[in-house]
Amino acid sequence: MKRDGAKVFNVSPIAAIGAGGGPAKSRPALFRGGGRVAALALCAVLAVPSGCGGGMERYSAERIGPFDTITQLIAYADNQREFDAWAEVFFARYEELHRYYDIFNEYEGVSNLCTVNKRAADAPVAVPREVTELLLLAKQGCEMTGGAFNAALGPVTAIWREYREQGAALPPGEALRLAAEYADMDDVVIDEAASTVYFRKRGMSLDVGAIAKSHAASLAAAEAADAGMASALINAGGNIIALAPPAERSRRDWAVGIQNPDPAAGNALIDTIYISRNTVSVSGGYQRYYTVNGESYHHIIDPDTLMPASRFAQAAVAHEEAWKADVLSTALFILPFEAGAALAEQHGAKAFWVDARGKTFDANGFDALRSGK
Amino acid sequence: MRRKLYNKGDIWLLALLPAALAALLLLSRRGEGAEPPRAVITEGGGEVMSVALDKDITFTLPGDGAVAFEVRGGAIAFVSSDCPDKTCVKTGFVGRPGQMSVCVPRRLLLAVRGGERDEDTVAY
Repeated sequence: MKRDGAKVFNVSPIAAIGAGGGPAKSRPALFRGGGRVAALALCAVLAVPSGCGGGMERYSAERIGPFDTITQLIAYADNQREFDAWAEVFFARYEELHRYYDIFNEYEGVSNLCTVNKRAADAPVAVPREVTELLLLAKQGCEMTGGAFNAALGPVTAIWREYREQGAALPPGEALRLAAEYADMDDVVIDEAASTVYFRKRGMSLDVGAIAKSHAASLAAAEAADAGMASALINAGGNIIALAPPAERSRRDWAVGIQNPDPAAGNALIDTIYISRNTVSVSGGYQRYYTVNGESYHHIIDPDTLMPASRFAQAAVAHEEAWKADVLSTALFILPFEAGAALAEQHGAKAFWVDARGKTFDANGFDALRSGK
Repeated sequence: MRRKLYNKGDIWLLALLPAALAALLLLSRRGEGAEPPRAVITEGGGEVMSVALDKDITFTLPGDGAVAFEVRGGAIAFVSSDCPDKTCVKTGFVGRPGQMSVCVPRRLLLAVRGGERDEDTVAY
């Protein structure tokens, strides 16, 4: 954990004058005797350009590992100790949720989604309440996107993952079609009261890659907020969660850049938006992919074609609920523009697309996010 | 004798206040701009090395030829790694202050520190 270097200077002059109080010998008249009042006035003025409400400073911390990515927490706090306490609360909860939602590994003393994928066809598997809650959201997401987001597509995405890791060939269409027979979210039976999950068919598996990380980050953020964290921004492997605005008088919102899907763009972002008390999710095929015969094949699979979705290079969604932004950005990356725009409008999501040629499209007031500051 | 709340010399202080305010505003606007951006490489949380981004260069992780980096046009990228998924390499170049690239299996983090920050974070 480190304190951002930028603001160091904003505090020290105040501290030096305020605490010392005594006059510097070389400037006789200024601070002598009753000059204390004037000195205090100077302190007040010096405090203004620091721009931080109540003298808060910007701190940040990163954690590598949970959800196989990097997660950054940025927050304004009175001091390092306060920030560290929030970061501890945030990352502890986030890591716990990662263990619950991990589909690749099991952990001592907890049955998680990996356990579910292994055993839920035998009998209902008892899981932590957070797991059934996530799966109920996943069902809701599947329904609202007409199946474009489908957490039950695990058998298909597992085949793609295996071929992607080998990096040599495309999976045979026949294998994908067979796997898709076991990819119906309606066959996932969730008993909320008993907190169990059951698969109606053997061969089913869940892939929560487009919902778990954002939801975990928002739950962890809520716990840190209960501990007192207010002005904060989280980047959970590309998913953004903004709490209260930065504690600086000169700005009203957090500035969130959107990565250019074109790797040739170098350092240039494709867009920048300004948000507070909101979340952003971006879906694109530019980070998890492999190449066969010069063609690139990424990880977001269209449930209709069972192939990587190819309509867009990127879709971005802003929505107050992190899991919804995540699910909708996946769906909007997959669906035709008209269907995606209608979906965005229906759910109050602001949306942005980039096509393969770099042309951009907006829906439902995304443009309003560009003018904050 | 009553102590005076202020004395003559403080007039100068009052006169200086606007100037001090202006100077500080100017300085704070510059933010981190005083120092040029650098890439800081950490492994398991500990800093391994730091490299300037103003000169194009290719180099490997000290004592580990399997992981290589390239600085080009003010940005830096993983160009090879012995990890299974190569997500770090596919992440491509990062050069904006605050931006990061990570090799999760190797616990290697590439972070752009210093420089003037135009955004708080980047969504991807």
